[in-house]
Amino acid sequence: MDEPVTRRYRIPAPAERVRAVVCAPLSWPWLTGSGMSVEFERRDGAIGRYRAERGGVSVPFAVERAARSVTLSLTGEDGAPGDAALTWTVGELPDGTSEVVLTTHGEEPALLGEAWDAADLGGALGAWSRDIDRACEHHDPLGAARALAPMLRERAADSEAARTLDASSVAALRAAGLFRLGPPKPLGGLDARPGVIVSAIAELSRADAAAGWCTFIGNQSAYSAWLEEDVATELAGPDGGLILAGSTAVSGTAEPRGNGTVEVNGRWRFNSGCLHADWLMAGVSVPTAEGAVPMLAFLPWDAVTILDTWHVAGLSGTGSHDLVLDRVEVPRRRLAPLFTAPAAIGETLHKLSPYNIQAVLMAGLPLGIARRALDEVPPADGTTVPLARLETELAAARALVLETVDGYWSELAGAETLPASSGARLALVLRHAADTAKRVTSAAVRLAGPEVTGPGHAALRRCLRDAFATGQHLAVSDDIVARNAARLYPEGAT
Amino acid sequence: MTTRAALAEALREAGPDLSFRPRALFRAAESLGHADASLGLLLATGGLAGALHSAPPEVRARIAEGDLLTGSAHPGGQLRRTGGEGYVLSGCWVAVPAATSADWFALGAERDDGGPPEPVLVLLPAGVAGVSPRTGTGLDGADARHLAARDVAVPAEHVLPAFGPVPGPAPLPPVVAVRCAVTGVALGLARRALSEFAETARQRSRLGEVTRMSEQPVLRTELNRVVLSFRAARRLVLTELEGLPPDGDGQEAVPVALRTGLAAALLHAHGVAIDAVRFAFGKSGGSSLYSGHSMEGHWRDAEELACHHLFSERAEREIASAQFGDHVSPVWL
Repeated sequence: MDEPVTRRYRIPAPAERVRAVVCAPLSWPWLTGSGMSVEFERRDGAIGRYRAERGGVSVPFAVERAARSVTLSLTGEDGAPGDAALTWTVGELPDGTSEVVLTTHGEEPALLGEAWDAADLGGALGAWSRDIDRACEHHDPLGAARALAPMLRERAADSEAARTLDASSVAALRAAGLFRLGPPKPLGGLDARPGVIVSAIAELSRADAAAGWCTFIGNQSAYSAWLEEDVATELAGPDGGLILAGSTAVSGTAEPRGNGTVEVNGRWRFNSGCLHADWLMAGVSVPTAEGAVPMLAFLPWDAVTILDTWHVAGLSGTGSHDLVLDRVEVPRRRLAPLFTAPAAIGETLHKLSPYNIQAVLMAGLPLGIARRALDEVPPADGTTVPLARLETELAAARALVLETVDGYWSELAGAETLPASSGARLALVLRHAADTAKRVTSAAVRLAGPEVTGPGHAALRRCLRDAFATGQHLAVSDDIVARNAARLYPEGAT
Repeated sequence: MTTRAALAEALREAGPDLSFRPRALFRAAESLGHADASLGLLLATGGLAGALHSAPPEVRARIAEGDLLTGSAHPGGQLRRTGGEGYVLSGCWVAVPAATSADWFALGAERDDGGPPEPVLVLLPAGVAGVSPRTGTGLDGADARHLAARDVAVPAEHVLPAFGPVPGPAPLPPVVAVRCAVTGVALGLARRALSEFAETARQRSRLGEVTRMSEQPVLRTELNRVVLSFRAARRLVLTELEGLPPDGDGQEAVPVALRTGLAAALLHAHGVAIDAVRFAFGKSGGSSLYSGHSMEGHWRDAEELACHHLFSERAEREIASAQFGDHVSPVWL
């Protein structure tokens, strides 16, 4: 039997950060700089299946994540276990830096071996960790978002190619506290003002729309406020925070088992951030004596199956794959009455309806995408007037969003809920922001001239795809507009 | 069927000498745009072939039957005379269709012969200009890429005066032919997107609704507006085309005033068509975001067509100037 082969890398960064990236196969292409590509195929529980390729050579493999290590097992084309395995462990050193130990058992494919031989993990991760340190010096979300922007811009194309937000971006956002905009205080929530939430998401989206999107989705951890406090705190990760992914669409069922659990079955689309979330949510229908009741189930990340379905025209880097639950047992206490009751805990944000919470978190996204589109078009002869008009249009949309959300906080200072007509406004304003982003990005692309189709304008083209993809979301659909128009003008509804 | 074979079949169906027959060219492009917008763009770019009319017979003979010629009328290159009879060409051309499979390219350039720069088309064989990786948003089948050249030697007979007046019966100026055809492609694509959306709307209900989408008053009104706008824009183009001299009379019979009116109508219709596809895509919901959904493909194709240089912000300004009587470079008209 071959002796194991060991590689060691000294990394000038904390082990927890390094582990998050090194143990993420979809980050390996940029991390190793080897020209290798890695495609996600599916994840069943804690075992993810991938395929590495380079120069026409393809290597399927499975990766299993444990607390402090990751094991890669080569598989056959049918997914059956192969002979070789690689194990990564990331250990903390006394000086706060870390050491990655990669041990290979069996015959290592040349594609993977050459990639890890050539990798300068210390160089790549050291610089990245210093970026995070700079962001963490800011105690306000907007300052942290601005500090992370250059790193997020640099990783945007990698996230798009991997069809999920890169692990380095996720770790950076988490470390800088940007997933604490939504959860209640028992889960590390900041009780942030709405203008701060909108501006921080806008700044992140300006750098990379996928990062902005995944941050707003991850902050739907706000919905944990619908759980009892002791149950909600069970969801906290090692840093006391929570990244949530999943869908509130009632696409599944939760059948009571009679032992304090329910059996959940179903399939959900559009689960942004599902590959990096700590916990997942799924809208389910629960049978009761009074009829079926919609509720939100919370599950740990390794309880679900994720299918590789996110091949899309825009927001590719959000990793919004399909989620499947097949006879998964969930404690009854982890079902939240999101649709039928007010929040059990929380602050001002959690007084809003779930849809308005989503809208507060989402509203900065289209503003940030449009801002970036205009950033990409320098004024030139003949374009100053249309650019000025677009700047004004975007500023007006932003002002409307901020006025609306600030108005909510003022109203909620003296009330437990918003009147229906007030609650209706933000949905309409969100649609306006999304439409504005589409108009502004389309116009910016035109102003950039025919050269926009070339290699130098990838970011602007991504803005266009992301703005139009945003426009496909249910939250800005005609149905939502119609329903909220009826709430705004109940006397006119037919 | 390969793309080249499909294009050859489409050209056979449309009939010979499309560059002399703007109405037939528009109809062929519209039909192809409805079936396959990428193929439509290839046919549209073939409108540059009319420039070969002014080439010496020995140059035309070098282009074999079945050879694929594409290119770009955008003057992205600079042509300098060398000490001898030839030139050197340097420049960059954006979104040239069939960049890796064409046999010949007709590329716009400004010729510097010591006087004012003169716009020309330069005939280059494949393999001479560098080709960038593909980066566009749509029209995947057209394989449009950027080409670049640096100090490429060009014989004098490969420089075609394609933008000035040509005596005698001559095909449409390349700019007119390509703009006419690209608008046709856009209108064909829009018609398809609207038809598909209307059919979907007749069959589907929105989330939680009992009625079909097509039964909803707001959607009916919006769709009606878009369709009427589309029909009006298309009718304007057909009216301008009907005002042109009979097919075959050639370029001499298409004065600047007629070309200006046609250009303005084509520009307007192109914009309406792109907006129609955006409308259909926007109303199609989250499912249409997925690759392989027909509406996703239509939308990406529309966004790529929207970037064509003959419909740019600069082109719009030039056409507007022409409509007020200013002299405008034939590169735009």
